[in-house]
Amino acid sequence: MKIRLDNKLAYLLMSPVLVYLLAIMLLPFGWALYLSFTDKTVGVPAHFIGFGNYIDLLKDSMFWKAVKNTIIFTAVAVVLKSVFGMVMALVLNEKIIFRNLFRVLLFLPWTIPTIVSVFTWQWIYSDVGGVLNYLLLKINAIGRPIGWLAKPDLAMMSVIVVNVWRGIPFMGIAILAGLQSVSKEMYEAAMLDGAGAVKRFFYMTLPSVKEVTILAAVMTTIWTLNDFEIIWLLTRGGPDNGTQVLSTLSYTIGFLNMSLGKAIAIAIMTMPPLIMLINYVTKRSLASAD
Amino acid sequence: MKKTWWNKVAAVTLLSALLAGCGNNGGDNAGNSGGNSGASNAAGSSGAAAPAGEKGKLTFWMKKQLFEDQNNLIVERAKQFGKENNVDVNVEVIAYEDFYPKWTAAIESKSVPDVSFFGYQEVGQFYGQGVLEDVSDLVGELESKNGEIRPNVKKAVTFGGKQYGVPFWTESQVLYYRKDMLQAAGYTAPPATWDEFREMSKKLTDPGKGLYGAGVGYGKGNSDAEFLTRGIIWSFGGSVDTQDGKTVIADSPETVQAASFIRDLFLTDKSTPPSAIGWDDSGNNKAYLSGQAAMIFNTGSVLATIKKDNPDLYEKTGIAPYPAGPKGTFIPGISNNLGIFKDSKNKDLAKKFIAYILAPDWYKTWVEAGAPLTGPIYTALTKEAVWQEEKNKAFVDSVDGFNFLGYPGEYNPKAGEVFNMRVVNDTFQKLLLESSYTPEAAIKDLQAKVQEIYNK
Amino acid sequence: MILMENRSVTKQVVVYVTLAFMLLCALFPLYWMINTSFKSQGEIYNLTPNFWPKDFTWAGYDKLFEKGFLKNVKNSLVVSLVVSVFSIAVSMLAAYAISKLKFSGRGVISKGILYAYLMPRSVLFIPLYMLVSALGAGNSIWGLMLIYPTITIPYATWMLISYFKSIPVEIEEAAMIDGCSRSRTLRSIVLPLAAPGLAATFIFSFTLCWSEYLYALVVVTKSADKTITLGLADMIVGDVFAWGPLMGGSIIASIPVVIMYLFTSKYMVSGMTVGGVK
Repeated sequence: MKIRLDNKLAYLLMSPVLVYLLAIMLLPFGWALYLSFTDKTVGVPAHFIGFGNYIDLLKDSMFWKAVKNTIIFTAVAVVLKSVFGMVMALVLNEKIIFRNLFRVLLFLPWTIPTIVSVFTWQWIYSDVGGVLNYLLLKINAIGRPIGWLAKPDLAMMSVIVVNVWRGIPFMGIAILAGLQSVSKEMYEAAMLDGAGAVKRFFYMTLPSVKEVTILAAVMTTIWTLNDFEIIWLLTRGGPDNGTQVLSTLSYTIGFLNMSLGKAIAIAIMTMPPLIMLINYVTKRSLASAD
Repeated sequence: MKKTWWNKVAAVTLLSALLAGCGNNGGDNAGNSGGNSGASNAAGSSGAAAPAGEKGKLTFWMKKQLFEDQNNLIVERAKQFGKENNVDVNVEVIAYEDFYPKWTAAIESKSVPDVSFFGYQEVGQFYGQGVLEDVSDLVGELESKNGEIRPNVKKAVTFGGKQYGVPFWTESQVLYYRKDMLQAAGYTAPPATWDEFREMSKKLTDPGKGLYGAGVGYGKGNSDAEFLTRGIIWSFGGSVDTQDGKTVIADSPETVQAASFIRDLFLTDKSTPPSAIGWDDSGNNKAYLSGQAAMIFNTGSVLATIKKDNPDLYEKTGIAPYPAGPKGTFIPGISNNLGIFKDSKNKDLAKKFIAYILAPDWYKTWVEAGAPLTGPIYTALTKEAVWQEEKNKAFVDSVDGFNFLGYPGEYNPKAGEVFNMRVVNDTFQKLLLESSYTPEAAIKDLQAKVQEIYNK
Repeated sequence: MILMENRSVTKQVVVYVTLAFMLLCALFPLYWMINTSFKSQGEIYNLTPNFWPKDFTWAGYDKLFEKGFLKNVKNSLVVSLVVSVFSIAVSMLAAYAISKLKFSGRGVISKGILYAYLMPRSVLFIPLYMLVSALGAGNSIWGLMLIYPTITIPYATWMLISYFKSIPVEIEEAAMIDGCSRSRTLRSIVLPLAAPGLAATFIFSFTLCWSEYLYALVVVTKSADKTITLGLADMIVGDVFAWGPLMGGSIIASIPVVIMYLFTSKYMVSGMTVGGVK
C-alpha cells in the first residue's frame, strides 16, 4: 500500500478533541506537575523544592504500605473482575431462556451510584442487622458475628468484593461482545473432533476474546487504581492502615492536611506504571492496522 | 486464514447493519446533536457569565444540620437579612465531609464564600495558613451587646489573643446508657469512673445474646473514637500532644496506663462488639439503636433521633457526663464557628450578617430547635428551661469541662494534623489487633509518629 | 449420541447453576436496598434483619420527592445526555483519524489522549474549578457540561479507535474507488458499521457522568442545579443517616440508566464485537 500522509484532514478531524483537551486539560496538568515540585499548601504561595516531596514519600513507610495495598487491591480486583466477567459472558452467550432479561439484570450493579451501593454494603457487612452475619450464623458457618471491616485482611477482602461486584458488568458485557464473534461452525467442528469443553475454551474461546479482554481490563485497571469512594466510605484506609491505598492517602494528605504538593506527587507517582501499560496496549492496537 | 475469517464477520455485520437500516440516520443524528450541544454549551457559559444585577451579594456556607427545622430556619433568617439590607444572600447548606474539597477549591481559586462554618480544628488550620480574618472586634461587640460567650468555646478559636472565628454552637459527647439493662444487672447509677465503666461493661456483656456493655469503636475514619481516646488518656493524666507546642509528651506512664485500660476493655474483657474496630462514626449509633450496646459515647444526635423515631428507647435511655479518671473528668470539646476569609469582598457585610445570626432572640429559637445536639454559646442561654431537662443538662454542663486537641498545650494546627491523620486511631487499632503489641510499645510508636508531625 | 445428550444436559445444568449464582450475587445487594427503602427507621436498626419490611412504609419515598429529587434526576439526565452526545460526536472524528489515516504524530497524539485520563479527579478538581469559575460557568450544570468531557472523551476516543479499526479497509477503498468522497464514505459506510460501537460507548459514557460526584460537589452550588449524586449525598447528614430516602433514591436513580441501556443494548453487544475484532 502506498504511504500517503493525510496530515491536513487528520488534524482537522482531531481538532475538536485536541482543542478541547488542550484547552481544558493542559493547564491543569502543568499546574499539577509544577505543584508536585513545591511545598504548596492550601492558601499559601508555593515554593519550589525540587524532588523534595518525592524523596519524602519514598522515605515514608506509610507510602510503601499504600503502594503494596494498592497493588494488592488493584491486581486482585482486576483479576476477579476479568474472571467473573468471563464467566458472566460465557453464561449469557449460551442459549438460555430470558437471555435479554438476564443481560439487563446482571448489568444492574453498574447502574447504582457508588456512594449508595457502598452504604448498602456497609449494612450487609454490619454485625447489627447485617444480613451476611445473620445468614452465616443461621447455617452455622460461623459461631459469632464477624467484623468484616474490623481486621486488616478481612477489610481488604470486603472492599475488593464491593469493587468487584460493581465492576463485573463492564467486563462481562465487553467479553460477551467478543464471544459472539466465535463462529458456530468452528465450535461444531471442534465438537466433532471430540474436543472437551475445557480444551475448547482454552484453544478457541480464549484466544478469540483475548484482545477485547485486555482492552477492557486496562480501562478497569485505571478505574480501580483511582477508585477512592469505596475504600474511603467503607474503611477510610483502616483498620491499622490495612486498606490504605494511594488514592485515600493522597486525599488525606491533600485535603485534610492541605499539603497539596505532596498529595499531587502521590498521584503523579501512580502514572508511570499506567503509562507503561498504555504504551504496551496502544502498541498492539496501533500496530495491527499497519 | 485468520484474516478472511475476520472479514467474513465484518461483512456479516455490515449486512445486518444495512438491513437494520440504522446506517445513515444514526450517523447523521450523532453528528448533528453533537454540534448542537457544543453550541448550546458555549451559549450557556457566556449566559452564566452575565452580571447578576447591581444588588450586593453575600455567600454563606453553612454546615448541614441533622434537623431539617434548623436548616430551614437558617435559610429564612438569611433571606430576612437580605431583605433588610437589600442584598442577595446565597446560603449553601453543605454536609460536613464535603467541606474540605469545597474550601480547598474556593481558597485556591480565590472565590471564597463571605461567611463560612468552621469546626474549631479548621479555624486553627486556616489560621495557620493565614487565610482567616481576625474577628476579635466582632466577638467583643457581641459580648458587650448580648452577654458573655462561654469562655471555653472562645478559647478554642483564640490564637495569640485574637479570635479568628465567632463561636456558633457547642456539641458535647456524653455517656448514653440503657437504664433498663443497668438495672437488670443490679446497677442503679451510671458509671462515675472509668474503672466502674469497665466493670459494668463486663457484666453487661453477653455474647450469646449479642449484647455488649461498651459500645466503643475504632474505625479509621472514626472521629468519635479520636475524641473519646483523648478524653480517657487525659483523665489518666496523659497526653498525645505537647505542653509547649514543640516537644511531644505522649510517652508517659499515665498514657500507657490509659492504653492498657482500653486494651483490657477490648481484649481481656471482650466487652465490645466484634465489628467495633471497623466502626465509622455511625457504628456506635447503630449498636445503640439496635440494642446491641448498653453504653456508648456520642453527641446529642442519637438522643434527638430516638426521641422522634423510637420513644420507647428514649424512655429507657439515661444520659451522664464522661466518667472520671484518676485525674478527674476531661471532655474533648467540639465547638462550631462562623468565620470570614481574608479574600472575602464584603467583610463588613459579613460581620453584620454574623451578628444578625447571633442576635439572642432569634438565636435562642434556632439553637433550641437542635437541642440537645446544638448547645448555646451564650452563658445566659444555658439557664433556659430546655437545658435544665434531665436528659439535656449534661450536654451544656459538659462544656465547662471542655479541653481541646493539643491538651495540655494550646490548640494549634499541628494538633489538628495529628487528629486528621488519625494517628491515635491507627495506634489503637494496631494495639487491639496484634496481641503481641504491648501498650508500652504502642505509646512509644505513638510518641514517635506525633513528634514527626510536630517536627515538620 | 447418548454421550452427546448427557454432555449437553450436564452443560445445561452447569450453565443454569452458574447463572443462578451470578444473579444471586449481583441482585442481592439491590434487593437489600429495596427492602431497606421500605422499612421504617426503627426497623432498619433491628438486631436481626427482616427479609421483608414488617411495617411497609412509603415514607422514605415521600421525603425524597418532598426534597425535589426529580429535579436532580432531570439535571443529571440533561448533563449526562449532552455530555455523552457531544463526547461521542467529537471522539468519533478523532478516532476515525487515528485509526484510518496516516499522519505525523499519530502515536504521540493517540497516547496523549490516554495519558490525559490518568490524572485522578481528586487532583484535577481544583484547577478545573478555577477554570470553570473564571469562565463564569461555576455554580450551574453548565460548568459540569464543560468539564465532564474530560472523563468521557479519552475513554470514548480509545474505545472508538478499536471499533473503527475493525472495519476492513477494503470496504472503504471499494467505496472510494466507486467515486464516493471521504466524507460520504465516512457517513454511509464507516458510521453505519460502527453504529453499534457508538451505542456501546455512549451508554458507558452516560453512566460515567451519571454517577460522578466530586466535580458536581465542587462546581454546583445552587440547589436547583444539583445532580442525583448530590441529591443522594444530601440524605447523609452527620452520623445518623436517612436510610429510607437514600436507598429509595438510588433505586429511582438507576431506572433512567436501565431504560437507556435497554434502548442501546441490542446494538451494544454486537457493537462490542466490532470493537473486539482486530
